[in-house]
Amino acid sequence: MAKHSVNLVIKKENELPVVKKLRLLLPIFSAVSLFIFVILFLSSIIYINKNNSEYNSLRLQIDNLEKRISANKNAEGIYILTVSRVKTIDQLSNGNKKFISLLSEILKLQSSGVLISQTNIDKKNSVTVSVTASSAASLDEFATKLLNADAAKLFSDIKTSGIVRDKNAGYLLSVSFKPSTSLLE
Amino acid sequence: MKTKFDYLSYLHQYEILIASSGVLMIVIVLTFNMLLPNLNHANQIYAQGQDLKKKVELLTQKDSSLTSLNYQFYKDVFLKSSQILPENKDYVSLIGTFDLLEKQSGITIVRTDFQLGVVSTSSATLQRAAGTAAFMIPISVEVMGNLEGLRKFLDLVSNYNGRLMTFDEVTVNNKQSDTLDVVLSGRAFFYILPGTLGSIDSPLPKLEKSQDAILQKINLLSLPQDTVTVDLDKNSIGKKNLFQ
Repeated sequence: MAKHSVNLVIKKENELPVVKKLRLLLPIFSAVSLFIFVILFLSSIIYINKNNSEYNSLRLQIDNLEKRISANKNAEGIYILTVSRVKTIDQLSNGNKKFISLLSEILKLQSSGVLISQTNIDKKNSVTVSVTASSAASLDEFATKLLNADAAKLFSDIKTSGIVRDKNAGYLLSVSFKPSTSLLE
Repeated sequence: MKTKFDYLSYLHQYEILIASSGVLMIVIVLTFNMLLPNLNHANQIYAQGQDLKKKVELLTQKDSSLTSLNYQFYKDVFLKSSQILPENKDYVSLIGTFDLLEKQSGITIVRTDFQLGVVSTSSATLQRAAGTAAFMIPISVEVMGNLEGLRKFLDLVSNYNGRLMTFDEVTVNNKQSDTLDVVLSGRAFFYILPGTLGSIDSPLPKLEKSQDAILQKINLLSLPQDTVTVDLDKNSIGKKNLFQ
């Protein structure tokens, strides 16, 4: 009886180096990616479950607070309008000048022989006064008072112009100066 | 038969590669379909959570401020402040203010001049006061009186007796007597209230010290005549039941 031999071993074909490398790396890579996926997925589920209830409760809290604030809409409205009006009044009042201290200082320059016939305080706080002095002595007294006010830093930048001697031996003159800011507060 | 054998042997030879690729494909699909939406949701919860916490804090603060707010106090101050800074030109209240100032200060108002401009609501003719939302009405007042009277007049003006006015120019004519002839030039104001209150989570505005002092000053004023309500319960209104 003749014997037949059968070769059951599959002939190993020569593999490309790339395939050899892939055979080594691909399982590692897929295992690692699966592991990372599982870790991240579980973490995200745990994080969402843990924070979702807090998130929802915050939303609920906000809804409730908004409802309560809406219920007090009238109070909010009247408060905001009052505050906005008061703030505007405050801003406008800040621009208000108080002339009275300055005017009383100017009137102090008068004496028996000196009359300040006209005073003008303009928007830039420059003061111009028209003065009538009955004599040279009165005029001198007026000038001394002006110098004293300058020394006391009540007035500065004092300028005199247009001195006219009238037929009654009196003097008419115009004086301009800058008042101290403290006199306008 | 031979083809099947080849196919199986091929599978057998590359089973690791095929399985690994399969796992990788599944991971990629699951990442796009499940992981990324989850991470996105988690990120949203984190980011919005911080905002929501801040919003809750803000709303709680606003709610407690509103709950403790004295509504009647602010309502009264609001009505009283409308005498000082009305919503329109309101020349009647301007005239009323001058009458009141004349009566209280003892000086004589010789002449008042206020430029009401176009009476219609032409906004082109309106000019805002610098740095504020209020509109200006140029005014000029000529008064006669002594220095003390003038002091009283200016004090009353700055203490919110009637319409708010500011003066920035003054001319004094002195005719050798105690009486001064004073021309004051300045502005009266009106303020159109804002039409909107802002969003629900916008914080309530706070008053500074000087503004709070003004608020208290205004509160001391009396309510405008036309806002004093009549208590109907105290008035006799006849029989409540017709059959009695």
